[in-house]
Amino acid sequence: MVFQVKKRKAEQYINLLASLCFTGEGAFSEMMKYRHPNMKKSYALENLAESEITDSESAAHSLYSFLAAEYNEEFHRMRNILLTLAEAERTQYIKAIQDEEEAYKYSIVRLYMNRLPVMSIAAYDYSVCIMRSQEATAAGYISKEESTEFQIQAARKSQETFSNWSEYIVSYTAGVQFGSINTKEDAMEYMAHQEDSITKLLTARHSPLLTVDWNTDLSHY
Amino acid sequence: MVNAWKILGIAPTDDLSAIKKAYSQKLKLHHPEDDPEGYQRLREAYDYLSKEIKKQAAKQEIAAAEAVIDTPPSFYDEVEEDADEEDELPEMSSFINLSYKQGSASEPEDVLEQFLDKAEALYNDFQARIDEKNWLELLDDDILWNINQKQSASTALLHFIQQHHAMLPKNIWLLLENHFQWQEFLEKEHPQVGLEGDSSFLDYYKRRTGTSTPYLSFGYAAAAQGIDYDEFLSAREEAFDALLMDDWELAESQLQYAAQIFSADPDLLRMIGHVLIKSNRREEAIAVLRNAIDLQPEDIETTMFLARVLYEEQEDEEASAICSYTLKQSPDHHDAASLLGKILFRQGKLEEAREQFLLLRKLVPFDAEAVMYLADIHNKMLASTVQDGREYSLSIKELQKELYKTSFMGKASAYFWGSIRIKVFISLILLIRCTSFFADLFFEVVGSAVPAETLLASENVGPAILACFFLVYSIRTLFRTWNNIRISTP
Repeated sequence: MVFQVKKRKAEQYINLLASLCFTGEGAFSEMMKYRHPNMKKSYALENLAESEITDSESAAHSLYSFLAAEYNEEFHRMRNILLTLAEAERTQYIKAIQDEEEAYKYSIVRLYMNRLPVMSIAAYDYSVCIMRSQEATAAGYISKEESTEFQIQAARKSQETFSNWSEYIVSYTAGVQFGSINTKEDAMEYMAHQEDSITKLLTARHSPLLTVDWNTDLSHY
Repeated sequence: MVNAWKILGIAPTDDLSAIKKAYSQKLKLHHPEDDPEGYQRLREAYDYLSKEIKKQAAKQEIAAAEAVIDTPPSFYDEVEEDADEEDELPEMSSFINLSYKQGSASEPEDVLEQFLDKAEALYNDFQARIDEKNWLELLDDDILWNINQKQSASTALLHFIQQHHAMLPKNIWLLLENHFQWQEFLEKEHPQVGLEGDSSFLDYYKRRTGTSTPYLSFGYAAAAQGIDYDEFLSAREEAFDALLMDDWELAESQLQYAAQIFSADPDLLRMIGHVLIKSNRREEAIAVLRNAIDLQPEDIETTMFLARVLYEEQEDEEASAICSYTLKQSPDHHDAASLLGKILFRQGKLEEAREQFLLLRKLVPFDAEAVMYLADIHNKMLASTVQDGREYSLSIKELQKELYKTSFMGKASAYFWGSIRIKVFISLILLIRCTSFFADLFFEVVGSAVPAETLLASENVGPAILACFFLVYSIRTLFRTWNNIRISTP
């Protein structure tokens, strides 16, 4: 019985990490349920195809990349470049970048380079890793055992890197703006849709963040 | 470049020395370290005008040389006139290009050597080396006006720079690149000049002239006496490169070595600050950053760096003073707004903290930190208002709105309109039907119309059991629905 409770808590924890990927109206309601609202094969296939994941090989490659926090590595590399420049030089540097998407990314790095918890956006990598592994299982690209392994590893790395849910959410949100969005206008639109979910997650009486301990034991998952 | 003359502040002229003089004057107003944008514009204007004038001068030189060749020598006229006179061979010198001086076969080499001597003398004098005016003068050397010798001089100078692994301020690097386009030359790999395959120097050169390289100061070291300038600068550059590559160990060792040679350099001290923070030596970092600020008080970057470290060390008063000062100088400094907000939040000054994060939201509407802190602030304000009766600038209703709280009816409406559940309606119908069934049964027994034993007859048991099942199901479904509505929104 105790084992079952611990297993359920670990599952809730991992699903909550993934549920941060939910966006739009009703996202908070879905986060409350600790499970994906629509993990059907067709949905999973379509979603993964949008990220150019169409078979087991591409699924595994993508999952390993997210587990290695490659977006965070890129953020860090860009941060190192900007860190050595004076403020006026950073403006010059970003203005000189021809590629608009790259210039936008550097502007996001510049925005958060001195403010993020542990200077990391790895929360984005780990949440997406968990979500993708669940989708990949539903799509039949990887087995349940492989998926479980990815999810546990991503969850463990999250606990090692961050101290609490607030740190994780800020890091995740900054990560979305860096890794998943290409323009400032899109970033504003994302936040306009997501602000209520973030606010409720942090403050609602029945928020899952209050019931799921950050340091949940994952050994029984 | 239409407004190049305007940027230099002179009337159009073909006098290169006048252009150089104007450039030197303007350099005093737009130092690369203090005003990189202004310096960039000024340099581009100078480079454009000086190239145009040199192009025109070169064209004139070629035209003059061709004119000497094309003009029929007066010898022919003389020959016709003196046709009947002795046949004398014309003097060869008449046909010789007058621009070539007899017996001057070694002169180009001498001129090149003189040029290189000047370059070496300039480079060896550190204070002169870091002054852009001296390089402008060198680049005005006659050899660089001669189209036949310019390439040789350029290559020789590049070779010199490479051999010495030159330590130059970024503005000098950019001046040389704009003048000679060495990057293009190096990328084409010219083996005949001994630069073949030297991709490491190309990388080094590109880093020195690239936009990702900062304008590290040379002036502080130049003011020091009796130090090995190149050794110091080399160690500092190694440290900088190591930081870029995330090699903190190498960065620290190079910074320590550089500091042993000369420590009163703000760029060096700032890098040391980063290394100390990385290894959690905050108190040492504070001391080092304070030294850097003493040397360069107007450097906002370093003062904000210090403020962040002070915040980590709970030195709120000094940290907030720095942030407030920074915001006065630079009202859209989002780091300062964020840090000041956090300090005020930690001190429990919710209204003031809210002000800072609202400012941050205004500067960056999608700022994640602002959303998070505002949520926390509004939540605390609401709790404080409800529990302690404390008053804030926002009413309870306004705070609830900020927190996206709704009434129960609002939640129910949102729930039913947003996610209609057929089973909820079926459960309601079943509940009514089953309740009605048991009510009928009850009244039949109570009214004694039917004896109790008859009610327990087999044909009544089946429907009763089914009714119980549906009753339990409907109650369970409706309870869950009510619970979902209750917790679906705060």
